[in-house]
Amino acid sequence: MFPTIEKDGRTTICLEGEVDLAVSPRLRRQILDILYTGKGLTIQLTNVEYIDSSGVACLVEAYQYARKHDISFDLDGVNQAVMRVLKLAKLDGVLPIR
Amino acid sequence: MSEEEHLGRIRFKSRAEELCGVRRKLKAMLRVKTCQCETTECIIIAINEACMNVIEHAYKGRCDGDILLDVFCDDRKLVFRLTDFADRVDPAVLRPKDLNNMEPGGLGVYLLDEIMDELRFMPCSHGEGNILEMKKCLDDNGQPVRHGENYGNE
Repeated sequence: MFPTIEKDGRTTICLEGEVDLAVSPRLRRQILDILYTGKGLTIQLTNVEYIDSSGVACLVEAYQYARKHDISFDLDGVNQAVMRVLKLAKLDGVLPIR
Repeated sequence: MSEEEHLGRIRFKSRAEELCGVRRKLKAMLRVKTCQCETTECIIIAINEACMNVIEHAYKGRCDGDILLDVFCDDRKLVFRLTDFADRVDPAVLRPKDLNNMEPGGLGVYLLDEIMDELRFMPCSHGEGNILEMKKCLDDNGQPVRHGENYGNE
């Protein structure tokens, strides 16, 4: 489980290290469990060193769920390693980046 | 035509936990080739996606499958051959999906196709399994040469 911060009714998940197939199934579960409560969610990416398509898929699924259920959702601290993959996938203009 | 040099082989099992080590070893191998840093990072993304596909779709969750990644280079290109010993896969899996639908799945093949210049399944001499060959063309400075490629950094 990645650490979370609760503030003003909003949850921030602080991702760190390498977000790949070895961790993304647990990340997906963690993200969806928070969204199911209806709370706003921020994914903090500052300390992510690497993210693969399975990690990006978690972000896309979260965004789609949040949008469908009118839940506030965004990405914060998008660094070069994350932006590289988002741009390659042409998602940099789609996902809500702070 | 220049001769291909074998930069090395990475052997690993079909487990997601192996991917981190594969990325590290590949990075060290590509450092020897001294290709540009951004190019190296993108190649690692592509190869990681190809390895993931083998783990998820060829071995279908089996954790004991063998996977070999061979890296070759000459002065103009890097060649990666990813060998598995699982059931044959349909070459159509290499067709990237339409990202306009923004489905969470299918991103991996899209990234692979976006980064590599050539993807093809080769005939397997060992009678079973799959060999995916991926090529990346480089100029004299280790920069990618494909259609004005800039990896989305417009």
